[in-house]
Amino acid sequence: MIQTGGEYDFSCWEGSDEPRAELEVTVNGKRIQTAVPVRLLLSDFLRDHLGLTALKVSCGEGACGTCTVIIDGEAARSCTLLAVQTDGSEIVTLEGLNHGADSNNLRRLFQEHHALQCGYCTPGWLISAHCMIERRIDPHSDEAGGYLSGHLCRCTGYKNICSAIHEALLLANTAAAGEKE
Amino acid sequence: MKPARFKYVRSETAEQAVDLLRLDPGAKILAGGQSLVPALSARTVSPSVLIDIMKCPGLNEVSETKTKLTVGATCRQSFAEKSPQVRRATPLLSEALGWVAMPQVRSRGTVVGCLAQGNPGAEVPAVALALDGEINVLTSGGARETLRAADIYAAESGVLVPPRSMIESASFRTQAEGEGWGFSEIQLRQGHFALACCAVTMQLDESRNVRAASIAIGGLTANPYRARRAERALSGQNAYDDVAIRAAAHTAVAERPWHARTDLHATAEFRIRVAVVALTRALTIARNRCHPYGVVDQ
Repeated sequence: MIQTGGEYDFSCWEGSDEPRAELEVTVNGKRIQTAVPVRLLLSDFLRDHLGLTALKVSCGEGACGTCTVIIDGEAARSCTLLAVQTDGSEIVTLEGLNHGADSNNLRRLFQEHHALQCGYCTPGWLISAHCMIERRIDPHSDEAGGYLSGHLCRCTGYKNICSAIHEALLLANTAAAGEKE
Repeated sequence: MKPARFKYVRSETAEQAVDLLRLDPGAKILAGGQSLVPALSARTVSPSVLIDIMKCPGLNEVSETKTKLTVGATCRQSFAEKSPQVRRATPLLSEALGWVAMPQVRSRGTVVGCLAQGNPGAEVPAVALALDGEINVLTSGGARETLRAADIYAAESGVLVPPRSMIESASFRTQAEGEGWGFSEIQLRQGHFALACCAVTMQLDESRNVRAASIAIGGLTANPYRARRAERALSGQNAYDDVAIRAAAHTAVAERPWHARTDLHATAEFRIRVAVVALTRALTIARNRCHPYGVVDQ
């Protein structure tokens, strides 16, 4: 069971005179207030200190998308941010999205379309897909292509991932249109 | 791939940020960090102090006069890209922002950061050249200076701003009535840096001849440039003459002030061909968006 808030552990930095700065963030609905080493990347803060290991670190330069999280409602890379840069923000990781109809649909569609193989890139795709659904993005638009281009997958060849997300968007957009009427 | 040690300060005002810059020659400004943090991780830059300006009040504002749209230093790309005000006043900028990296990066990166970094193949510097951009700088003495975009990219590479200064905002010429715009880019894959990107504006007279055009090309050379010779050649030509459009594209690519770049992704020869294609597209798009008869005097 993954815990957030209160469980963070900075013992590996203990005894060092690392410059630190105050950080106050909300992660998956829990408020966290702590002083973090200023050179700590957000991805490492979330994984190593908060135990939120759904996000993965791969390229470390913002190209591959495996470390994608939601910051203040927008998908963002956690490896190209210092943790201290997110002071005052609301962060949601995949662990925080494991509820609700949209994420259930996404999970089911990823299974049905065989949209993952090794699964390493999957958490990042799911985060971006979630943001696309929230924004009611048209799956045929350039913007949808833009979001999808923000992730690399070395197993599936993309086709299955794109068709799963495409269907999830159609499903969510149709449901939203139904609610309006 | 982890940053080396540095000190970190959250600056409360732009003035405080430049004061700190003056005190420490190794200090660097941090805004969205989408270029700087990967560089810190790769340790290609190791500042002694990072001065985070994202919390400076008022620095994220977008303001507008009749002729200029001004974007503050901390305004994020995703905000400007979706802003109806930016789309109306400077549609060329909105459209180009859609080509900057990916949405997951634009959500954190800033418009001005794109200008300050001046990466080869970056889109916003080319737009700034095409829209007679002005770079508003706060110098370490506390004085405010306005530089032309053409001046900060006047060297083959690097961004020429006064030492120990900070860019506070950037201004772009707003769209004139009936003016068309076009942005075209060729990338190896979506979200990658441009092999070549072209920013164009165009105005036609009542007989559909080009009254004025501005053409800027990025990616071909290390810094972007404005193709003044091609602009003059196009002036007075029939905008619907595709031969004239193509000729202008060839002229613009040929008048590059510096060497075409060769890197891992493309040779100089390939980039030259790609730039002609991209510019032909941008000019055609701009022409098609011009008010068909220009602005008619009543």
